[in-house]
Amino acid sequence: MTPDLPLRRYRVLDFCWQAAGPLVTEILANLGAEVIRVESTTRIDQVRLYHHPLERFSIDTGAFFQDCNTGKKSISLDMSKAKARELVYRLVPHFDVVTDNFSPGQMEKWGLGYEQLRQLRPDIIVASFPVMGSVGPHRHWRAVGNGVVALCGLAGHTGFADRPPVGLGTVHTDFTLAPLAAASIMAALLQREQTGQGQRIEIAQYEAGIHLLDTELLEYLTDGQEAPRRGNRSPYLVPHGVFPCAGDDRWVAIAVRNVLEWQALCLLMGRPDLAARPDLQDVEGRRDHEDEIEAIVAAWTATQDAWQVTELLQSAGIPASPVEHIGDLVDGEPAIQDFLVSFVHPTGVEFIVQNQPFTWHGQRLPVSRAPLLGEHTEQVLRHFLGLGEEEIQALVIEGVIA
Amino acid sequence: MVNPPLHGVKVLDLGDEATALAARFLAELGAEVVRAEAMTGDRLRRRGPFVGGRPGLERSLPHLLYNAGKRSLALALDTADAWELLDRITTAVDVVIAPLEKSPLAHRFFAEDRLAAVHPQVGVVDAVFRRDRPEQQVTDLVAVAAGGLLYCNGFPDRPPERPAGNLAYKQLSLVACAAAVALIVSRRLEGRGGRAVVGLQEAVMSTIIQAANQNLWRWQGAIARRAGLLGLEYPVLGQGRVALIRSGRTTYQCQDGLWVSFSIWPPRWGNFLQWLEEVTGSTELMAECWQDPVYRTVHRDKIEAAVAQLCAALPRDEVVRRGQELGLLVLPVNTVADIAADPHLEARGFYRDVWHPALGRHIRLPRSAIRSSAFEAELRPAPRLGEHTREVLLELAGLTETDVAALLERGVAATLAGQEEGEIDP
Repeated sequence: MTPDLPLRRYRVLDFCWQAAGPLVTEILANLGAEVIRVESTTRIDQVRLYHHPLERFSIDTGAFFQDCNTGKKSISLDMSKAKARELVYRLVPHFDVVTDNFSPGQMEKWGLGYEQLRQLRPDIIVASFPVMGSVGPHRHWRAVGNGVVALCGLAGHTGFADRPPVGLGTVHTDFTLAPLAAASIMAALLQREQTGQGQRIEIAQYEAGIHLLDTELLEYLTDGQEAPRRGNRSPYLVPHGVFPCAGDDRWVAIAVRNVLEWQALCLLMGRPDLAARPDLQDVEGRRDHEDEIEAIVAAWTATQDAWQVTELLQSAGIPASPVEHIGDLVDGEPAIQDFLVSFVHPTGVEFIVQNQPFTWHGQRLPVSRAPLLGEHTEQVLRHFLGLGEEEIQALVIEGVIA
Repeated sequence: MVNPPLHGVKVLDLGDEATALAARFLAELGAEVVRAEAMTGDRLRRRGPFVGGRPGLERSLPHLLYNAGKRSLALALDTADAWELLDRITTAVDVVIAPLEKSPLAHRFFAEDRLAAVHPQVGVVDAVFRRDRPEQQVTDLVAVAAGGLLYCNGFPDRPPERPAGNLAYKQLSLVACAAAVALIVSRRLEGRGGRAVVGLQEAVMSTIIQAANQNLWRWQGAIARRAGLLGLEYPVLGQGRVALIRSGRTTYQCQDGLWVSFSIWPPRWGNFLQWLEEVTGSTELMAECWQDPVYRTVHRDKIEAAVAQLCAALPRDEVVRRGQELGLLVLPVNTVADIAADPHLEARGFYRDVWHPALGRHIRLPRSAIRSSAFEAELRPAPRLGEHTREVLLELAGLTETDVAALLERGVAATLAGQEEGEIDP
């Protein structure tokens, strides 16, 4: 580990699975914490099953899993067995943080609820990320990413009003919990340094998702106004949209923030007449003619390359970007090349993972590959519990570890 | 209950619309956040919607939401004098948060070499749109386009659809918040400052690793394309293969016209069949071949048609209630009206009524999503413009009453004194 990483003195025992939870502990791992995943060979983390190279499929070759678990270790335990749970009880005192994103009650069933963990380590920090939270009439509701996007209002307020509220193509709330949760765990660690006390933190994914809304909820709570679905339009900026460009499914996003940018756009389009029109000098006036304006902009962009028209617009100070897809980003953006980390995995597969989207003291964080399932079981049991060869063999034979 | 975890931590928030939420989250964790803003009110205060539909610097909902719990220091940010004051304040704080869009004076203030030389002990969270072209102009729409998120959303016969919520700026703020706490830990435990620079384009890209994973592109040339109700399609090329994979439909309309997100958790497939038969009488999917998950994936259009038929026969709340009872992943597609009336959130005490003196009324705010056994996050109102100017200059800038009076006189700073509810000059 790089010596100046801020979390290098901390250890996390990580029961998280799927994406939302593991992305939390990935931030902690990338910032230097020793994060040990507790995995199961009987109840495989589903994320291990996504996105494999065509030629290879194994429990270790999932690309999405790589992206959620860099820098961690993995131990494989069959938690349905009492002996496996005993091993965890013995491990816990060596750890500062225990994390999970199970439905409420699962950790308690294993004897790993907060009060039980506190018996094992009084200053433990326990962080859980259930979908609905552990209290409330719907606490047992189950959901995966799409469902949380629907619950929290993002789907209900996205898109064109005449189309079904399909939400996002991404399971977006899986990717927004992580920074907030990591921040709260780091803050709890800092507090423990000062007070000697641990704590239990819970973030309901539903509530965290609601904070992704802009002012739609507040507007309703304050004045009873329900914001309409606006497609790509903005109540404050006109024009504000996504316009066709030359090529297959190529688009440019353009946002005009003020009258100067409006006039600059008109001149770029070769339409000084529009720039001079008195009724289009403010947003209200342009909104009255929004269909007409959008048609003019679309006709202008339709024959142009998305990157070239973006350059033109940006050189005139107008916010614009091609609507980039993953291929554009991976192969066409020199700026993000050091954000992407390539490595050859022990399975022989070459992976690209994303680093954290921030630099640290001018450097990228050191990011290493995600663990193979159970890769560190023996190492961890030897190191923390002092188990010997025979004991480990016995545990394997009994199916306690894998 | 003890103090919140960042009690005693001081943050100087120079964030703009793109980064302001970062410091709000820090305030919720207990940090003392000073928001330095222009005496004329910052852009957040000028953006609607406004309380009661009437514009005013204290009436902006973005301000009330994103600046809750902060203190307001009103300065003439277009003068070098104001930035000298900010340098004095910086010596007394743990972390400074930069705006994404910087004025020339802000640009000079946040210059890496300068800050590292003058304030080596302070943490700095900066933000940039495209790392190689920091001068480019950006809005949230432009950022979701640049980071690959926009391309994944919408219907194939329409342009890509912008997600609600300013999600690019949200991700930037969330990452900035995490980076800020990491810097605070570093400073408090090791006495060192440092700098984290969050990339907006990268932050957006970090949200597409499932939908449009970079390895699928590299290995198979697969690009996730928006397919409306059908989710995403992946035309997969390469190695002599051409295939079309899609992610699957999850959005369905119910009898009452409302919508649900409906996914079948594979271990509960049998429960779904039983429910389908109860409601529609259909037993078609009970044939042996449908027990095979791969067969189900290949023939998912038949399953989707059955789910559509089931949902169309029942009102939404019943679809959700029974679906959850059966262990299926069925959730309402909520609007804000549903969220405002949700008994689950009500029972959890998710809302807090916060008194706003400038408005003479309570504003109902969603409270922090962070719950702790050790503390209760305090939800305080967003500040009035310049409400804390005097105390911040005395406490953090180390000035005397005489100094402050002189600054007010010279128009470098402004306080609330004598100020009525601020109206926006057209």
